[in-house]
Amino acid sequence: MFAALLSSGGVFLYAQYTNSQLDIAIEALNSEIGGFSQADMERVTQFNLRLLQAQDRLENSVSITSVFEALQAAIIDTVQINSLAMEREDDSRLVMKAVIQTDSFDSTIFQRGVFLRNGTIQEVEISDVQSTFTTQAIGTTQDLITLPAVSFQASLSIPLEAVPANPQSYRLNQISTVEPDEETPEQPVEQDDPEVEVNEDTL
Amino acid sequence: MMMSKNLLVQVAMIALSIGIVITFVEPTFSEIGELQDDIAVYQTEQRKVSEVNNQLSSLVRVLNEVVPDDQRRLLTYMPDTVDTISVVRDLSLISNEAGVLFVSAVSAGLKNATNQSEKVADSIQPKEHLFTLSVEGTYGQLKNLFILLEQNNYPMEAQNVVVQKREGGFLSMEVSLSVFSLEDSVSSEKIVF
Repeated sequence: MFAALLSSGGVFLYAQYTNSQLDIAIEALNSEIGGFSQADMERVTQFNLRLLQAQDRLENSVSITSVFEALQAAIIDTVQINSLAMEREDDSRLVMKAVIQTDSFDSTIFQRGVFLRNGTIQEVEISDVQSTFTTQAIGTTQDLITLPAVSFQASLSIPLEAVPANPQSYRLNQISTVEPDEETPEQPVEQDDPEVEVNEDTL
Repeated sequence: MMMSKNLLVQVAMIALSIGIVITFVEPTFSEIGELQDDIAVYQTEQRKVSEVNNQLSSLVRVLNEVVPDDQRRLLTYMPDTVDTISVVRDLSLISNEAGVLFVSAVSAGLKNATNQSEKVADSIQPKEHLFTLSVEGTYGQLKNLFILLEQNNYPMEAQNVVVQKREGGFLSMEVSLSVFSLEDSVSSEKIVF
């Protein structure tokens, strides 16, 4: 009987203690929740999102200048581009359609080979090959002569990762070209690689 | 008689003890078990909230360590809104600096940004504002124009470029450019405990 009474008292006291522990736990949780700052969370989330989006656009930015240079490097001297249309397809590649004129079918075949061997340009497709004529002025006179020519349409694609934009490199180039001589007038920045023989009169 | 009375008292006390155990001790034990389970749940939740708070505090510290200049650059690179007049003005200034003949620059409205990589596909997409720039110039001048566009403080992504040959070695070019701004709907997603 005494044992039953003692155990009852003990169990009662332990239940009271457990209840107080539960109150403490609830209070601690409420206090922790109260310490959460919604404003800070929004600030951090907003900053993170902005950073993420900016990084994504930065990683997917391309240099059209590099595309022009890749084209220059892949165009032979006897070839002229009459028109060029370039379209960005999502964040994957640039698709180009160019109407190109050469002086002969041999040049056309050679140009196709150069396109196919080019490391940057991919998916080369030549179509609408036509034999045509072109008029050119002779020397300084106004006399025009008609010459045979071959025109064709080239569909090319360049993956975006092959032509990433690197604005920092332009700035470095600008600094290095201006610094040696302060008298030098401001020149437009050219990205040409002197080791690559290119056709500057591409268009 | 005396002995039978003692026996009766003992039996009654045993019965009372059993009654106390059944009616009080055992239910109270069960209640204590439930309370302890609740305490464990509350403590686990408190630890989770505490971890979130600590992580948030450390992120706020990192955010506060970003120098104001960098914050301003980021805000310029991915602004909340795009002022179309400012962009057109910038395109005009860049064209002049590149030496090309500025023909026109117009805002072509908004485009749904679908060209995001998978990494950010689930997050909020930025607004994509389209602009069309028309210029004329030599090949070198057009290249200069792109060099300057690529160095701009905010991204001007060329989506379409059409170059046509004109007389006298000049070229005409029409470029569709995308300028981005952040979709500001994060604040509407409240976190409620």
